[in-house]
Amino acid sequence: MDEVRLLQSSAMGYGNVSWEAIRRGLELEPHVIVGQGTSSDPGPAYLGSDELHPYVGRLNRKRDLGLILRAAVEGRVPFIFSGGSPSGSDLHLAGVLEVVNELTRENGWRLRIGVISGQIDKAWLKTKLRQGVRVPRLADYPDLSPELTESDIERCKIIVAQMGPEPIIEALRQGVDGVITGRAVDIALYMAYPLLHGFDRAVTAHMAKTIECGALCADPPIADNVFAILRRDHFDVFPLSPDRRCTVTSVASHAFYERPDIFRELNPGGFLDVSKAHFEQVDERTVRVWGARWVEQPYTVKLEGVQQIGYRTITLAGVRDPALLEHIDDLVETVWRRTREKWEDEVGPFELEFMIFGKDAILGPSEPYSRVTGHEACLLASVVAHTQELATAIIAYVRGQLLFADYPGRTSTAGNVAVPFSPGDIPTGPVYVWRIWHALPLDDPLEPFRMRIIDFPCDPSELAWLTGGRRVEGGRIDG
Amino acid sequence: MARTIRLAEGARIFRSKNAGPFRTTVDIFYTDLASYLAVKNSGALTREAVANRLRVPVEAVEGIFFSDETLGIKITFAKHPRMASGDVRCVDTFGAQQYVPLKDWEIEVDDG
Repeated sequence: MDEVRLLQSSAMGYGNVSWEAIRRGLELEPHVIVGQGTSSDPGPAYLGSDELHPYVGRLNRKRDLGLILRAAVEGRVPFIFSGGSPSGSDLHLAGVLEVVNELTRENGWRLRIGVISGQIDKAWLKTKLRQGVRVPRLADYPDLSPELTESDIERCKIIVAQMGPEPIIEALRQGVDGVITGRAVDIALYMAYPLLHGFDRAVTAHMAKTIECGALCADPPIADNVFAILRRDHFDVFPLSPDRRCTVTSVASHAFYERPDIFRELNPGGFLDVSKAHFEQVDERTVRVWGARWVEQPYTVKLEGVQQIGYRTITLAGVRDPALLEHIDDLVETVWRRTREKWEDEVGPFELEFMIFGKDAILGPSEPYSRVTGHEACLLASVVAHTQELATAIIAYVRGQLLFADYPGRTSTAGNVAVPFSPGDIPTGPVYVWRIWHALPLDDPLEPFRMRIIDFPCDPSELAWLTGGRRVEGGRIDG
Repeated sequence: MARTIRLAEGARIFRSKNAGPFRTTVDIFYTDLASYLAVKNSGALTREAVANRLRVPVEAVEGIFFSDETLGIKITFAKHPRMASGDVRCVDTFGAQQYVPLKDWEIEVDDG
């Protein structure tokens, strides 16, 4: 095999990909179709969510997955994608699979799919700690234990790990039509097929890193479909939309995107070092890349875990009176103190935050302005308490105080602030925070990742291993 | 001759995003070599100066990178306590507005 041709098509459900672009890609006879469909970017709430499709919704997901599966069936090409809305937990992977089940049934497709869970068994992880495995945090943040503890594991509702390419390679060896994973390293999805066929890890990883977000590596950058041709010592990349082109700058600068470092990136088993990479414009829309290095490191996977800390209710309060704009910190201080005094003894600890849009809500301590400089501002008050009912009760008290508490120069004895909407208290549901963001060393890259091979369409009972026995079908989960 | 410029002068892209929930990364790409080199060679972008501008401890500034090939600069720093993505005081889940204090930063450059 001299080259691997990869058709990239996102599985996120953002709606950027199109059949028109995929069809152009199929004409180039790809060996594999690959897309990423998991992410931690939208925050911890999704990993904790009990809904099947909490992120982009089921319809968006079904459309984008339908395009990938149709391309795989019509082009007779294997596919690899990650899925789970977007956290990659078992529940959300089951959500993706029930959509795949529906798609295969509706279209008369028959697909043998390797399914790999990215969710980590908590008892297994505790055993690792008891065996003396040290699991350091990946960011220096006060809420993360410097090294993972059993209490961290117990506090977290769900823990996933970003699998590397090895479990996917193992699934491909089983002669499947495609592979669907839970939480995975994005570049691992793109690396698996070439590594199975013996391609160089450095050039494969750099190719994967370049195309993982689709045509964000092109100009103008939009995450629609992109195509890569990987050879033994270099790769070529170009977008499938005629409206875009890859340039040396667009491809080289994609190394910046969402990365702490532009030259070195830690992945399972090594650093990808692109500091000596070369980029060459081979035609108007195509860039050739070579020269990245892979620096071997002990094999680790990133663990992600969330703890539920309560339920949130918020309220908004608009401010227009110049006297209050000048003394807004006084009012907030008074309300904050009264709310603490009133409630803390009665109900125990809760989280109370005031964010002043117009002053420093967005930047916090990094804001150079120390006061409101415009003619109006908005206060956002947030309470996180043990129950939704309690959070709403406390925020109702906060709202009343914002309306009627005193501040220097106050004339507004009929109400201090403008409350938008009725009802003015907005319950936003369970609140989760990241508690695990740690690197787990593994001797065997396959060890924590459970795999099953499933023939689709299937009976929903075949997905129940991901949902604790509950039946998942038609966007609903029983029990 | 020494003169003062804004960091955003000559930049076509000046943006920020999370690099994981606990870090913000700012990317700056300049349109021309002269604008890029003026900033790079000024020596103004030290960890101490960036920390001072962002009102964070020096240790919070984790990296400052220059890429001659792309005329790009990357600055990565830790998020404030309680303001990580999804934490209780978070209002910028994707870290998309955190570049602004750097954009307006005025630095001394010397064109020689």
